[in-house]
Amino acid sequence: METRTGWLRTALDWALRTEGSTRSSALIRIGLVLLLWARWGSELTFTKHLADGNLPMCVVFYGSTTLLLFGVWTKVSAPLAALSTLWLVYGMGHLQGVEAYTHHHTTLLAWSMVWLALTPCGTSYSVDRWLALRRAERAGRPAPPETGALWGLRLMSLQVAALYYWTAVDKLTVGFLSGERLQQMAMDYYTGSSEIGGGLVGALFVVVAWFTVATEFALAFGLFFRRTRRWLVPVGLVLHGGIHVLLGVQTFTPTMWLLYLAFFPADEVHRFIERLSGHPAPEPEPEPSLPEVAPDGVQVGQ
Amino acid sequence: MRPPGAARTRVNRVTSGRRSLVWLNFALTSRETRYRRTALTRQTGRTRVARLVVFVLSAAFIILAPAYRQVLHGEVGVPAWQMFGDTSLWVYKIRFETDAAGGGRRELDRFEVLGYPDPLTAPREVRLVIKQAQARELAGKICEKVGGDQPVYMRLERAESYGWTTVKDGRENVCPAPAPGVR
Repeated sequence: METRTGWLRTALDWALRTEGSTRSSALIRIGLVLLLWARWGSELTFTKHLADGNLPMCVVFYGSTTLLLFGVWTKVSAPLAALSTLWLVYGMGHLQGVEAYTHHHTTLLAWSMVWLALTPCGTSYSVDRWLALRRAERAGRPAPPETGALWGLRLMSLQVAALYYWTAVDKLTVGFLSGERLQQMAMDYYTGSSEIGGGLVGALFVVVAWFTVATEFALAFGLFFRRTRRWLVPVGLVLHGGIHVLLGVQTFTPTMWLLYLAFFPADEVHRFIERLSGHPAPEPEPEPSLPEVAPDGVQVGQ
Repeated sequence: MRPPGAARTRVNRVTSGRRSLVWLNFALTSRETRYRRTALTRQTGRTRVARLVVFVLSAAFIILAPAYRQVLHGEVGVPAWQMFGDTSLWVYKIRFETDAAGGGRRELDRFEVLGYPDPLTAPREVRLVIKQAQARELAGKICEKVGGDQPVYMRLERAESYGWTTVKDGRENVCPAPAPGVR
């Protein structure tokens, strides 16, 4: 009973009570906005939406994402940007029938923007930060810390994990595990309608299919833990890179790469950036005493 | 002394029972820390409950919503992560054969027969079949090339999520019978 209570408390600490550097959130903010523009920039120019009723949404999209990119009023611009991307996926996509906006890469972008709005993403690398520093200087106060609550990042990491879990579940079919679904894609994208064949080539497709499913299940759970994350992140980066160059998935690969940041302890990311910048690394926090398989970033026993 | 702006991880466990300890800390800590702690102490009560509720609802949505579409096959547009679930289901697998000289059958290479030695540079409609009509047209062209009296058998399979389903089993000659008197 006590163990269960301990786990619940550990989970709550990890999910809701941890504070840390805001630089991860800020980097994700900048990256997501650039990905939004890469995906929708050319399709939302005003001239294309003069008569279809979506012009106000285009104005909100460009206005909010521009403010968000530079980190201006992020507590307002981030929710507005999230609302406009939700409108793109669910309003224009599902309701108005723009099928291309309902794909998984656009859906992932939209929901990532929602979770981003729950992070203190404007506390670093932003005009908001610069204004805060200037106010502190004028008042003779020390620089405000680049820290904030990390629960929005936790939701982002859960989003990535859920995506891996459910896409792996979707592949638990005879068609996929026999390698035939992958053969169909290989024929569609590369070899044409001729039979790919059995033998070694057929066996290779079976191996790749099982490896894909196993990797996705491993990523769904293993990214949360330091020991497994160090091996799984490179595997995930290569997996998504391979999918991008072989099949073409628009913004999906860079979005997933970017969201991996949510799994790394925010303070470690902060210290890493300091080291990259040539600044002396701040004194590290004492290593938290975690259960063997507890998620990172949790501090217990304080 | 921590440098200004340095990172720190701290677990906020400010409960009403510990407020006195928090205020003691408030009195003893530096101005920077005091500023932060003041902000944290305001997050007691309703703010913490609201955050808990939002987190639990959001996490439940993230984890469970895909089940609505992927397990229960619901129609509402909540996220479903079925990447490549319906990709390439339009593909047909095609194979042409003819009678072999010593009995049995031999494969007819459609690229060779139609004059495209390099399949990669062959027209798309020859390389990739995505409609049955396209397969019939391709069969017609091959019949023309191989000559009227040589049978051509076409085996055609359609991609399905579970593998392949046979559309033409390749038993019948797909070439039209030659007109009477024509050899």
